[in-house]
Amino acid sequence: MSVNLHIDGKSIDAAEGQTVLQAARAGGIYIPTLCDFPGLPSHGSCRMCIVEVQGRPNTPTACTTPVEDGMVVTTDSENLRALRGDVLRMLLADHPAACLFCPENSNCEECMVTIHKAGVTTGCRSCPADGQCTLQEIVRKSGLDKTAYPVRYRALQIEKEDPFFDRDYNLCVLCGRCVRACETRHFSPVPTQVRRGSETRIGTNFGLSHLEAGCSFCGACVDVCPTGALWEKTNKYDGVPDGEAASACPFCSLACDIHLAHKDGMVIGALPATDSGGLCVKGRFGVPETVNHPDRLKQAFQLEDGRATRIGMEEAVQLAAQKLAGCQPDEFALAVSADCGSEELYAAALFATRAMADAPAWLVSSLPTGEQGEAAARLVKTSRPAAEIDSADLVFCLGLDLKYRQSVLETQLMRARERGAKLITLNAGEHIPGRFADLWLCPPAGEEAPWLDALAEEKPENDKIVRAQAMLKEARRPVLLVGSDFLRLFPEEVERLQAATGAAVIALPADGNLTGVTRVDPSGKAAGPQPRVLLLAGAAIPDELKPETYIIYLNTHTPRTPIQNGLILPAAAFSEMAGSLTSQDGRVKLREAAVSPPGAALPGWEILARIAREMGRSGFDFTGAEEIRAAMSADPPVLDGLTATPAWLPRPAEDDFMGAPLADWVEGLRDLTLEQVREAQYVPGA
Amino acid sequence: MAGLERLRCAAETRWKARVQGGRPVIYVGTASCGRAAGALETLQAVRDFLEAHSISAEVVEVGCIGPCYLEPLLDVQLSEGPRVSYANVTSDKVERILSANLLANDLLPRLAKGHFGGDDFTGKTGIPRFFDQPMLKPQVRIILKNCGLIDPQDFDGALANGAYQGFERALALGTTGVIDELKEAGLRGRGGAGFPAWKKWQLTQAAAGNEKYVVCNADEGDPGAFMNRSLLESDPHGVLEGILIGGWAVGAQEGIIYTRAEYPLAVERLNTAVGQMRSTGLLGKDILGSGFDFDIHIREGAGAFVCGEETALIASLEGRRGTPRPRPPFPADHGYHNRPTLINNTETFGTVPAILREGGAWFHQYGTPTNPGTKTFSLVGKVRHTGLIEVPLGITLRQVVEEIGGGTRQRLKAVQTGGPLGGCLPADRIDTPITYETMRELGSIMGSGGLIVMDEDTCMVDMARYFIHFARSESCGNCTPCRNGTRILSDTLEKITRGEGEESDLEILERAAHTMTKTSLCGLGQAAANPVVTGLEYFREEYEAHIREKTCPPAVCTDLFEYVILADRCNGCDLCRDACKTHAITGGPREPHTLDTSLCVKCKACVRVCARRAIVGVPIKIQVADLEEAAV
Repeated sequence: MSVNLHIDGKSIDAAEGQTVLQAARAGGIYIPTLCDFPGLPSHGSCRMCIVEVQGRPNTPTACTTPVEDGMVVTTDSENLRALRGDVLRMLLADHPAACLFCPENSNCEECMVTIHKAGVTTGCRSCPADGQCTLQEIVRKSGLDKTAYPVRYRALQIEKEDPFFDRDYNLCVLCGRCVRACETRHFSPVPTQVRRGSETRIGTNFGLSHLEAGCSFCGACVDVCPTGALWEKTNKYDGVPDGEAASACPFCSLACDIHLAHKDGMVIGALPATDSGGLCVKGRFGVPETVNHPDRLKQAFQLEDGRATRIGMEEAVQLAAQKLAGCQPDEFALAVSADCGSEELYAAALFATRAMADAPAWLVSSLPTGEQGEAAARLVKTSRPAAEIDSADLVFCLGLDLKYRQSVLETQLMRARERGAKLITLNAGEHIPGRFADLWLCPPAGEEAPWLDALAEEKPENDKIVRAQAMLKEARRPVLLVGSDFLRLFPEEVERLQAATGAAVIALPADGNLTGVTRVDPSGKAAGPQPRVLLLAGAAIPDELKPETYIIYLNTHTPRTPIQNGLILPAAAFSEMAGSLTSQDGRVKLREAAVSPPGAALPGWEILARIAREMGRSGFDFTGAEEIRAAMSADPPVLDGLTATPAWLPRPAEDDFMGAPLADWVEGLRDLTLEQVREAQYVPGA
Repeated sequence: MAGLERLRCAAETRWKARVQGGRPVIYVGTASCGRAAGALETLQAVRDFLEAHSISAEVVEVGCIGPCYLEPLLDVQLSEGPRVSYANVTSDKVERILSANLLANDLLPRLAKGHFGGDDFTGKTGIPRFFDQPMLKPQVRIILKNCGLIDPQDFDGALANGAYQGFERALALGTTGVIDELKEAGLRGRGGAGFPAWKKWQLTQAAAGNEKYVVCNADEGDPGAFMNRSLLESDPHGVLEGILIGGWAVGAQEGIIYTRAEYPLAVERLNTAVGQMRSTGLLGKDILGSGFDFDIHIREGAGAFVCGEETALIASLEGRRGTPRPRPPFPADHGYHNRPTLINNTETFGTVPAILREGGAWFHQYGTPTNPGTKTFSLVGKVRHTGLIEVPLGITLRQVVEEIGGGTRQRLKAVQTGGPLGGCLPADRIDTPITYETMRELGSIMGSGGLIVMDEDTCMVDMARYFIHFARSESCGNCTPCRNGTRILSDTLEKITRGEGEESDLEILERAAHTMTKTSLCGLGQAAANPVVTGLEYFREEYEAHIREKTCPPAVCTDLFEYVILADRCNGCDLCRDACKTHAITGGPREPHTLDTSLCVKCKACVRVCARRAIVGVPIKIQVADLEEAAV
């Protein structure tokens, strides 16, 4: 149903159920807002968007007033300007306003005070949001030059005890965006309004820390905060970014779209793409610390009997070429991590087949070995895109905790529940989807496999399993949502369940680019003796190696175990080169280079190509990622050269990235690991 | 319906046996107001007396009859003769009254406050009728009809006095008939806004959906207001019947009373009454064979003033933070759990049974054509007679203050209507009739019925500071103008009462008040500035005195005056010296006292005891010479 209304004399058609604000925006009419945010329910608390509606007393807010046919709305008048200006003055009387009204303002901007001289609490230019603050912008637009009301500084202690972001509620304008963002994303929201009257502020129930309150640290609240109240720890004083580069998150197979904010040649933040479902803690907060870590490799090293010598990149390439030129194909093997971009994977496969005459090229992923590995690979290969949750009428979560991993799916599952889809979960421990599931199958820890098998049986004994079967039978479009944990541990059981129920499977492997190489034949040249020379591209060093093994370690970070003999080659991180990866739903996601690689580091594919060229091999003269992508689409069988890993090669754990636990580089993740250990002691029903 | 008829007959018999059974009956008012004055001790003393003298008498605990300043009230009804009321009967006076009455057959006419019998009894004993007292005579008791007369815990008393007759008639009239009756009565919402009740009922009745709710707003939070509490404690069935009728009329299945945890007695009596309804089939399935299913639950709020706002109340009921939301949509369409909800004030529901029982036209005869009926007020402050009153709308403030309230001891200065969000109306507007419209025109509100009378000893700046501070702490904190505006007003008033006011503060007050009124989300923020707005309009010179001369003329703002003892008035009686805890007063006896201002903490204890008004507050004079001297 469409209605017609007049806003500022302009005739505007709007859909029934829209607000005056939406209609005005669609009609190109500007109304200042502060608490409004795209995708969040309207709140009507900041009172900036007040308008006059003919025939109504007072001044209702445009964001909460539904459109009506024949409505006559005025959005700008002397009266409204005065009232809005005054509401803003009231707001600023409780908000440090030195960045807005201080007479020394411009001097300060030029000289840039130190944070020690006057902390953020006094609201000078060292406010983290300076230059990117919605309030600043509104004040500038309104032309206000003083508050004229008695100011109050709330003197609240800055809350820094939680990982990833600080909370300085002295800067908070109580727009409630963070509260609504969390309510929209999570079933058990964390921030809420506490206390009342003029002492109202944002906090958690019972004054718990965010960690204790069960925060997923998805950062949705930080993303929507209009002021500097919520700010990421790592870029608190970095100021306005120089720019943003479109990229894709490398930390799991969902490969969510991210924007890498960079400043002065450093990545300072990873933000969710607009209109996306947000990010999880790893994607939102893990990137800058990983790519800027002091352990990043900036130059090449030669290792002789455990002694490291710094060498130039040219020399390193020559050394590698010499070493490999003297290698028989069965003396060499290459292991490449599924966390690498598609270009690296291609270059590695090409290197093994063309430069090293079909030497083994192993793909290192979290999938298990043997028959289980085959089952897991089949599940990944036949997986449906995660977006199909939205069309399912029953979602059966197998494993999948969603707290600190893939937490974006929580919102999707909540949406599914809201539209009436049923939700079953199977998990031995407390997990997020279990909170709003219709049925939680909670086997004792270690009994998951028999329960999965019982689900596929004709006449199971357990009542809950019977119920789950009945629900599955009733559903017309059921999906099995297989978490990376179950994919690793119980792939065969999941396959049997799939066969029994006929449900579609959505597999969510932990490895960033695993879907990109799903054609890997896991039964290929997996076996094989340990080679004399081992090239590890993004993969960890195996514990049990013959001491004389020569290791060529191509990675972004220094190795966690010492190398006796070999080479260390510094690779560029995903944020430092153009590239691509294939996400869980099979889409190729392109990445832009946000910054240049540190020191002598080069993209992995380029290092491999240089070595091959140095060895005099042809077919390695590509100079950019685009060329490789063109070659890939023209010559798909190259990736088939990648095979499953032999058992002696370490498999990455759930949260590993490029051969090391992400928590080694991202400090806050260590706190979360501790939190999970603490939580694991609580097993419901036990 | 026959079921209720039989029930009522039996109840009447039992109630009659109880209060007219030939035994003496002793009534003690034990509502919260009575208890605060010591009614429970009085009750115990009565029981002890009866036991000590082995007298068989009926003791009936009744609710509040209105004149709280007379509490504890003890009424004695001998086997012949009407009920005779004695005022301020603390436990030590019980012995004398009961022994005279029960042992000596002496009614103590000089002590008796009034009786509930006919005129002939007055002629015989010289005791006036209770309802002929100046405080009660101008009142019309419709809502409070049974308050103080029946035992609120005894269902028989309520049934024998007309309870659920309105509901029976409602069943006979049908749902639309009920709303027509309300329309004829012209009843307006007693929560304060005065929205026609029938419209709300009709909207809820017409709203789509089968699942509907009735919510009774008993979250009375105004300081100094106790209308709802008294009504719920004294005649719970009067309100419950209204809710039942509401449920029937709009087609709801559940009624919820949202009251405060601070009203334990009201909650207890409501629970008892709901239990009585359930056990007699007035709640449950197929009530009185009408096919109407209904149940009532009582929910206790945690005591947030803002939860009196209907959308905040509903949020609180749903287990969320009590924060108002913008309207529309109105609760009539999207209320409790998003279902159509009829939400009315306690007093509105308390009025409905009488309208149904006696008819809308009958109700409409009271009050004015646009403001029909009666309204209860809690009359407090500096009047002689404080208490709960019920008057027809349109009565003037003068009648309320002077006739009913018995006037003030000092000169009347202002009347605050509508609780903390109302305005202070000056003495020269006292001839204004009380209606929703006149109150609004004068910058105040009707509110739910608080009436605070202030005399010359009240400082209007301090008063505004108090009320704004209340609003500041009770705002939900959600919308900017209310959260920050009340803070700004409160800080500025605080500053003025400390003597640090500046000329520009008046403009700050005016502008902030205007913005709050125009832009706040809910009624709380829109009305919170009323005490300041009316203060600046009617008592501007007092603000100016605080700001320009740094004086507080009524000597309330302690930073702005000091006490001195006027030697020509002081007779050296020593009372003030004995009262002073800081030993600031010396001198006497029979010689004028002196007061050392450096020791005085302005606790006002001496002022209260001085019969000669010899202790007065004078402005603190800071001489420029003194300052210069101090600087040297």
